[in-house]
Amino acid sequence: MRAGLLFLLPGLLGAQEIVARYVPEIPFRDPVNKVWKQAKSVEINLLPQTVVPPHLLEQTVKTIRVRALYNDLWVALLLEWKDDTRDVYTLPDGFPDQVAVQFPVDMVNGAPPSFMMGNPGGRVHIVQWKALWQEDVEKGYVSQRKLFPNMWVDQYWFVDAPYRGPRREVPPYPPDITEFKDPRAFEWIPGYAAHNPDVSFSREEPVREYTAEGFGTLSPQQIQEARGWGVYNEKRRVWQVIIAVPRVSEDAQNANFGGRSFVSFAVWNGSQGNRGSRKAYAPWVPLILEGLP
Amino acid sequence: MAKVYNWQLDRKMDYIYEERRPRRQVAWVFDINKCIACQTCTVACKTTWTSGPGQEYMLWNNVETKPYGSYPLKWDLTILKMRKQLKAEHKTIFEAAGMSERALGYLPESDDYMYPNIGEDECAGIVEKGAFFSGIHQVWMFYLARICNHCTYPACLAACPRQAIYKRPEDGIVLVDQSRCRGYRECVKACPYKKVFFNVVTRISEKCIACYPLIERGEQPRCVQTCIGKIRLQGFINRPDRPDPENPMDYLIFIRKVALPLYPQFGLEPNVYYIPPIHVPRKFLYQMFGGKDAVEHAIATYQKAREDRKLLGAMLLFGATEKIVHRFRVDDRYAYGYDEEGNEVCRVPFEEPIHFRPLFDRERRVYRLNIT
Repeated sequence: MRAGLLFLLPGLLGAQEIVARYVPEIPFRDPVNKVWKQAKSVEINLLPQTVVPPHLLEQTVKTIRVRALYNDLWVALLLEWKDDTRDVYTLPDGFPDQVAVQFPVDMVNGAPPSFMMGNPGGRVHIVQWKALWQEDVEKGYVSQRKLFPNMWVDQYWFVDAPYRGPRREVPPYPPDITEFKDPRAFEWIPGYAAHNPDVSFSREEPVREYTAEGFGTLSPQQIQEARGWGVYNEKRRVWQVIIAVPRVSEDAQNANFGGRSFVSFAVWNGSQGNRGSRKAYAPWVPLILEGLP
Repeated sequence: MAKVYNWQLDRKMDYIYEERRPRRQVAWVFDINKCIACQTCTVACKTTWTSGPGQEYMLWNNVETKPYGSYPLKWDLTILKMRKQLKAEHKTIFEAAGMSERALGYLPESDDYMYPNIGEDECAGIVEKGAFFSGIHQVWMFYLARICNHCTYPACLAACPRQAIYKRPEDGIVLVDQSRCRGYRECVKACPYKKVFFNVVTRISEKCIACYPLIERGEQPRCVQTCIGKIRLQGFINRPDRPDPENPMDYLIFIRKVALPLYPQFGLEPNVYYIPPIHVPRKFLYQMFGGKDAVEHAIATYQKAREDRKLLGAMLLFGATEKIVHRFRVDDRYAYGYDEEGNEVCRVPFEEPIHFRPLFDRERRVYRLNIT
């Protein structure tokens, strides 16, 4: 019954397609650049993820507006959605706003894999942007000094004064990760010591590329090529996020783009506790690179 | 959902994965009556495992005063209340979850972790003037030492959408794969004991690892080794239907039933077993430790332990060695503990020898006033 409904969903959402306009230069970090206006804007309806628990019970982001551009090397999407709160930080009970796009890698007879993060043997290429990563890139890695400025800590292993001075002075503020320099200090940071690919204290792009073959299989790609940038428009209460991927890549886990491909979307509203499978999503939408065969 | 057998509830229940018990299950017995909340266990754990950035607020081991203490704040009251509001008091958190969730739970607020000592040493009520002198009074409190329960049916493991949490088949230790976690905090939300913690620096979740590097070399965890009150014993339990009377853990938990799981009604089959505090109002204990029959039996057995050589012998092993005791026996004078290979690792006398020393030590030319 549920599987049947899933097949019907794309039909219910209407026959939409996103047409990418060729431009010589893509404004990778400028979502308000006039160049974006050359591409037609398409509003895509989003659905709450209710296929696999935990579900998204309260859907606050209902639509996402998409424009697409491409040039000889890149395919870029400008994603805009309304979100009343700019959620950037991650706290024990706090989640950042996020968006992700997904492209098919393994096509069978011209059909993409399951839009639910692919299926075994049907890989998808996912690029995710997080407001937290945007903050990391723009203002430096977000750690305790920003999250808990009044926190008091007396010492950390292998970190120099004031945290481990000869007189054990009371440190004036909580640490910043940049003050951790001795490699031995990082042994007390388990996710880092275990080489979790998502635990990185130096980030150049606010996006990450992943491969998936179904729910729960999201794995970071070895080669990270995607570019991105996000800006929150306070006045309109809208996130504007650019995600760009290489049009043709030697990375076997990447999607390659001819004239016709597919794209799907997921949006998370941090203030509503959205994360992981608690997301609003849109199934596959055709992505046409105008002028290409 | 699979149907699995939960021996603590003595019934089948829903769980997301099939029943697959480890070859042996790590377990602990904590004698609450002996805990003085010195927090040596807490500090031993903290300095060993959680002294890095992002772990500041984490206490994988904590000791809270009941009835008013709790870390994170109201962890127990909140989940009990949620079950009550849903009229799901006879359901496990898996059965009460509904279609949209894998386990009934809540995500604590950041502030809930900021008061680990709230309610410490606070009594349940005011001691009436003069009651101190009259002997027994009705005011009570006790210390509840808590670590991860390394449950047979972990809610954290069930809730993780990417199977980043696993239970080791060789010893039943439950671990968060630090290389796979993405920090969704579904595990933090699902664990009713709130023993999975979010690291704000790595942005992924962490939990008690049962000091597995020690356990793998035959030693008990840090919180057990350092307990100055000798309230703890760590070992392995066998399957509940095949207890080994020579295994002190099996003997205390399955055979004598003197140690009870914490909130077994949640359905996780937790593996830290508590000898309930004997002076606390029974209704409070019934709710915490699996009902009237279990609590009454455990307390009655405990109170007669003095006349029961084998039971007393098993309890003497607490804090007697850093090694894991796999087998024990008693004779007229001693309780003996043995490691996995059968080597004796401790020998504890039932009665401490008494040495009488003269008031004046001629050799050192000093008086000894305290001469026991």
